[in-house]
Amino acid sequence: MNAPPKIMSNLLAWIVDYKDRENLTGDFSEVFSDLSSKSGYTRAIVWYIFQICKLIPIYLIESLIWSSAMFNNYFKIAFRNLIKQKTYSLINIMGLALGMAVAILILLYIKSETSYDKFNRDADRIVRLERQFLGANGEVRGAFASIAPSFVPIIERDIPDFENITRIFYPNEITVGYGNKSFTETRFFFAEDDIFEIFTLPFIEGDPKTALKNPFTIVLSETTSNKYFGSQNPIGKMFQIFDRNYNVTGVIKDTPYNSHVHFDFIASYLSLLGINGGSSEADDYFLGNSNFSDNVCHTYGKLAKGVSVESVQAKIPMLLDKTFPPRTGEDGRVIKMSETANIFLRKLTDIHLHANNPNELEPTGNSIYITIFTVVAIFILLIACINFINLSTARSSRRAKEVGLRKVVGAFRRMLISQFLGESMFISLLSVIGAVVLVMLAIPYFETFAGTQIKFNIAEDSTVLFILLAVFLSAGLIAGIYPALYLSAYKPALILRGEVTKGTKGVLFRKVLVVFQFAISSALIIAVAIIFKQMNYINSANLGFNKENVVLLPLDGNMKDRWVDIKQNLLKDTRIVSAAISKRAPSGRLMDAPGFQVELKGEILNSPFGMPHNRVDYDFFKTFGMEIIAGRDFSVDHPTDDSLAYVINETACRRLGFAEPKDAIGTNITARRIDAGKIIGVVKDFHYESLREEILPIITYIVPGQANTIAIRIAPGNVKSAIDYIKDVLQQYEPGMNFQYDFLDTRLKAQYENEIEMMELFVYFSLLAVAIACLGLFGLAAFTAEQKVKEIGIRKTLGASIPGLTFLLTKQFALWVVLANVVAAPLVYFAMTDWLNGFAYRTDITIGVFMIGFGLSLLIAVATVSVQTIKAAMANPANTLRTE
Amino acid sequence: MKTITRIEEMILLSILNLGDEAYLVSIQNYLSDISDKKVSLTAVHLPLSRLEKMGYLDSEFGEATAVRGGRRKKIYQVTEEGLAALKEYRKLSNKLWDDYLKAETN
Repeated sequence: MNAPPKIMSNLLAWIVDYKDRENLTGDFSEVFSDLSSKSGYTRAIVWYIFQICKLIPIYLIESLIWSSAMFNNYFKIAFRNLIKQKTYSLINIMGLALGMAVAILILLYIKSETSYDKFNRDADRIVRLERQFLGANGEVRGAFASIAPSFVPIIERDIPDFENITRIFYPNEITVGYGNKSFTETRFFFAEDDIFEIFTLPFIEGDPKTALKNPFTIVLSETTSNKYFGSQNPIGKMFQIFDRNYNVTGVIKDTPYNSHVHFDFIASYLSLLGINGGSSEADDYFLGNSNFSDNVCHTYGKLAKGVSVESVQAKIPMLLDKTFPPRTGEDGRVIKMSETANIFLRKLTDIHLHANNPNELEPTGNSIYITIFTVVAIFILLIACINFINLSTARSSRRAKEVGLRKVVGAFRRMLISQFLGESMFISLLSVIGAVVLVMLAIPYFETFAGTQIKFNIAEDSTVLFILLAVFLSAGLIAGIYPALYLSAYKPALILRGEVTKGTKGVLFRKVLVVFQFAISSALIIAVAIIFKQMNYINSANLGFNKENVVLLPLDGNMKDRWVDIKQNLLKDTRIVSAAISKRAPSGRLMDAPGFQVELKGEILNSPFGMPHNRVDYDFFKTFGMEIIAGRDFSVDHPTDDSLAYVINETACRRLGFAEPKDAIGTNITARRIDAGKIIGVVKDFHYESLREEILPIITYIVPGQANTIAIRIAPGNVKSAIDYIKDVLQQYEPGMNFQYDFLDTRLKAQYENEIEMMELFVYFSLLAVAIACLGLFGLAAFTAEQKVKEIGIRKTLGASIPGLTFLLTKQFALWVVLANVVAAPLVYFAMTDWLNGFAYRTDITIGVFMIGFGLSLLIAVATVSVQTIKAAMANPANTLRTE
Repeated sequence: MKTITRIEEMILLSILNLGDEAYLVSIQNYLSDISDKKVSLTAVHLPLSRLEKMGYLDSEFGEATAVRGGRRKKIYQVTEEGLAALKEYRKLSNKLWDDYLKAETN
């Protein structure tokens, strides 16, 4: 005896008419069993499935006839309920619309962030080659988004898996001359002609095959071409760059916004041959076979079809070991090149969200943002759904009679569930419409804020439609399923006899939900408080130098040669306190650590640890207000200071093993120079980099030739006139110069742009979350007050005071908030400790921030609730008790 | 009184012949046996529900067996009206046959 599979018999039971359900499924089972014993189980299954298929059309027709009749009724009832309870409907729809708007925005943002670089043909085969420095355990100790140019020929020689490789040199800023004018351009690149094989950059004019074949040729973007030439044909026009004429050979379409790099000018790589006056040394730098140390080329390659990135990555160590001889470490161990260096192949499509090297071509995105955004979006949508759940279950007694009557006249639970689900879907639909309007209003703000473009085009973009549908369905379902199950479970006999459950059932569930809502809200408030505290800590931290009143300017070629003159001229005025030039000013990253030699206890050590080099000119420490704690500063009075003198910082002093800074003075040390020099001074530790980074050992020495930044300390007070004076002086030396300047403290702040953005984001999100949660609380409070109207009336006639009654009604809400904070505190603590660990220098999480979160959420909740409770407490008992 | 169809006649007669054991599967089997061709369940079920709706059939739930997955049978009985309709059909049928045979012999 065989029975049909359970799932199939259930399916059959579901589609046959309910009146015949029992006997028919039984009949089918009987025949099935008979058939399987006669003709075999498989045959019986086939027959059973066939029967089901035959029944489906009948089922569909039947259900359609019935549902269309019922739908009219359901819709009418839903609409009447919506109109009758305006406040609650409004709270539901507004809350859901807000939550949905946030969810939609975030989904759009994620869509935009994950679309980066995917427009390139064969994007999955394109990689960027990145230089990595490995630590003792193979961990990545430092990395660049680029490699040294001479790696390319050896890779092309030994790894046949690349179809194309292109080196791109990005000089940050370049002065482009056209006619008798000059402009500073910041999206200027030198690239090998394979660039057009790798990136999809469609040509409007010119030929991608030949455009960059020759030196001193240049390709423009459409916008750049319009900027310089308007409607004229740019082909054949000339630009002056480094005193050479560059010939325009092509125009490409503008790079789409979702590219990790945007090209305005692409000059041929071969033009770099003559860039330093055409010396053979300069040629070797970019095109020779011996520049493995300066990682100046952002290098992209396209792999051959069917070659995996991993398999090519696996060939890199061998290549490195083949090219570079192993060296012997201090302990006599042989160290292979591949143990300390690596060339990392990063997939093009991973760059925007996952790469964060110090020399990225443009600021990259952050995958952490996406995670935070997603979590917050889900939470906010949940809070809005919870409002709906709570308000509908709390007010369920209003629908009890309807449920009872429907059941008496023959409605099944299934029908009631679909009715109530349908109602929540209806509200969800109204909310989606509201959300779409909100999103359209919010997009311009969100775009400037998140620094990206968001396309919101329902008609053209199917993913947008999909997002809307997903949000609509999930919100409708999450919000509607529990009330639907809850309402449809009423026993008709009890309801119609008058034993209406006054919304007391499910009270616990409701409480849990409210606590959950407020836990999220106060968690966000506490997180904001902690972020504020850390930012405050950063702003007020002692950086080891005086960040006020320092003006920073770029140092151009002509000015560099006449710097001594310029400096003298500047210092003539009392408004100028001090001036210096250096390679970099504090606020950037400090990455160059080309090594050093030090003599300790008669033994010469070769770079016992990594120590970044800081190349400066006289008065550097004085200008930044850094304190020399032992020895002396560089001085023009000591003629050898520009070649033989070094100043190290405290950390370096400690790392070299000196107990006291003064002990280090006079130690023999050399960094990238021929003659052995000496340590002449020790500077107090200062934060060259952001507070995220530990202070590194730093060696400072004088190389004015490499400087490219001017730092000028001005007297406090007369900032405006001092800057005008600086401008006057500099323009005497460089007429027609583009006078651009920055304040040191602004630049320092820019280091924390990410954190500031995140802080703002959190403020907005927590505001929203709290607002939506308050909407729900407001509704619940109104409901409670309404329910207790008689109780309050009686209490009042018996002599209860208005404050006493208000307290009575507010008490439970306050209790929920307290509980919510207890839940939220540990979660926030762990999440935020994790965030703070990203800073080497950080504030600690004190009880204060939790008190702020607690106080604020309590205050907000009580304020929301008290509108209702005070109104209820003030009501005249004569009115409320009259009807009894 | 509503007239019945050929298949309805067959089913009413089957129920009468099967006595207390007339339910969907037994009717189907009986009809398949005597007509020597396979009659499908739906072919029986649809006239059955039609007859029940017209009031020619009465039904009650019988016993449940393991082979039916623990589900009860729906046992059918022909009502007075059913019997009358059957006789009416017989009368009409006989009349038609009689007229034909008369014409044949003449």
